[in-house]
Amino acid sequence: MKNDKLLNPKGHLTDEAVYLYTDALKLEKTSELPGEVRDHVQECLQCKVAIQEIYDLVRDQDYDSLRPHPYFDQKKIHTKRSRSIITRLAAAIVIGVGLAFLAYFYFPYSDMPVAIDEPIEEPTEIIPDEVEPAPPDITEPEDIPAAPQEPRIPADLFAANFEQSPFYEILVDQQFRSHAIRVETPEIAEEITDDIFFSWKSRVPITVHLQLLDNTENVIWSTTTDEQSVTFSSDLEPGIYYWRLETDEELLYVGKFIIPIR
Amino acid sequence: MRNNDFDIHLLLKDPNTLIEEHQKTIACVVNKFVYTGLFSYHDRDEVIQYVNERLLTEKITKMQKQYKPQYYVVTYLSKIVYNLCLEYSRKHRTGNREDTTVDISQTDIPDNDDFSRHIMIQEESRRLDSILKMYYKHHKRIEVFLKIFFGIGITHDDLLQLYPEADEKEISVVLQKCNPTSDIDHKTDKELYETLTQFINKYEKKHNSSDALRKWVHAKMTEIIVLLNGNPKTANYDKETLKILFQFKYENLHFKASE
Repeated sequence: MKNDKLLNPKGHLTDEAVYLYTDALKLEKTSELPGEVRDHVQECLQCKVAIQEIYDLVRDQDYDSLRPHPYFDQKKIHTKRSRSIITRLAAAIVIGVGLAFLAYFYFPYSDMPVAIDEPIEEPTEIIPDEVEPAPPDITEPEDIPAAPQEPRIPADLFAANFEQSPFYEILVDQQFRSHAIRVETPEIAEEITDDIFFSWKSRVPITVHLQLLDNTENVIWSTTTDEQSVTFSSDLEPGIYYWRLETDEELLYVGKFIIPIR
Repeated sequence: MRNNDFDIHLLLKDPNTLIEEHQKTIACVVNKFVYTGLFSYHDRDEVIQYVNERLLTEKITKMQKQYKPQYYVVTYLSKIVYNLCLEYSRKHRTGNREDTTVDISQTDIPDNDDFSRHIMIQEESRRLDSILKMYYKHHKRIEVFLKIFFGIGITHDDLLQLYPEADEKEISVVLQKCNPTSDIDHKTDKELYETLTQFINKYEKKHNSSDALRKWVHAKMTEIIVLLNGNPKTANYDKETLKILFQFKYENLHFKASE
């Protein structure tokens, strides 16, 4: 499989790559996946979610009788073939160099150009990347693999403001610490036409940082409070907004609300 | 015996038979939705009927065009069936997921039904395995760190698997400082992170702070919770229940009902 078909233009796995990864999990062959697929999934929550979604469906299905696998089993055959081709090429080069030596010693005054005088370029050795990438931080959306910016739909239509953020959609309404806090308002995907009243309940006094983000994950407002509610009263453009509550230590909650077109 | 080559042949030449042959696959996917509460058990047959009709009338032609022989047909078919189930749910507005999400600390399984509890824990443990495998190079590291921070304890081999060149004396220090003892409650997270950071920095030739390690571990923990909960959400994991699952998995803890 060509690797350009495994990653989409945004740098995430294509559907085909997600299916392939799922098969790899089932067959315990993740080490045989293409390196860039493994490396990407290792760092990307969005792609992990996509794989896990399908893996959950096929987890109980019997894959034992399905062999040979069109990728993992074929790959071995290809590898053998390519090794055999490389061996033949190497043998041909050795013979060629040998003949050139003979020609040099036996026919030193020949007009024929002698290849041995040319510096032989050593084949480039491919060294696997041993340096692990810096651990990403899920609490910071910037760590999602950089994707080429796509042209945005004109802002005056507000359509672009209503595109969901794949990263935050995964995190919305997850409760990462039981009993740490219970969010009361706004409700998930609530349409808000007035001031935004963020409120939550915690059993113990807790200092939290609240961040308000637009749908492109830009922080547009943030505050720190010991209270259990905060009001945001500036005008916001119509669109989808996310908000996160966290302590110095960890992420507690991610919510989402909508400012409708008036 | 039915293998993938035969499935490809059927997909291209005799798709109706492929669907007939894969009724078990279809039922398996629909059952997942019944289990997670998107459909009631009474809807099950109707959903299977709907999926079959949609496959025969439209989807199978698209599958013939779009399938690339790089993965199993059954994996691809399962995803198509999954999408059709969601389509059915949207059309019929089924589902009451909140009542049926998995919470291993609070289940509806009767207290004396140890077998069902055991099966459920095994299932969740397998899901956790698949999630950890996706971390590939970080897999072992995450497993070890979370075992430490959940107070489960690690072994000499755990550390050697992370750093085969690690010095025996240093391994002993880490084991002594990070493993649960009678005074585990008195060890602060800060102490644990500092011990580990010192050890890791030496063998990875880095200068990371213990705070960076703490953030990294918390981030991975949060990711694992998100993955276990599924998208859309079908379970109710948080840090405390993840800890319970780790304890079941690595300590072979027996489920103690009503605790």
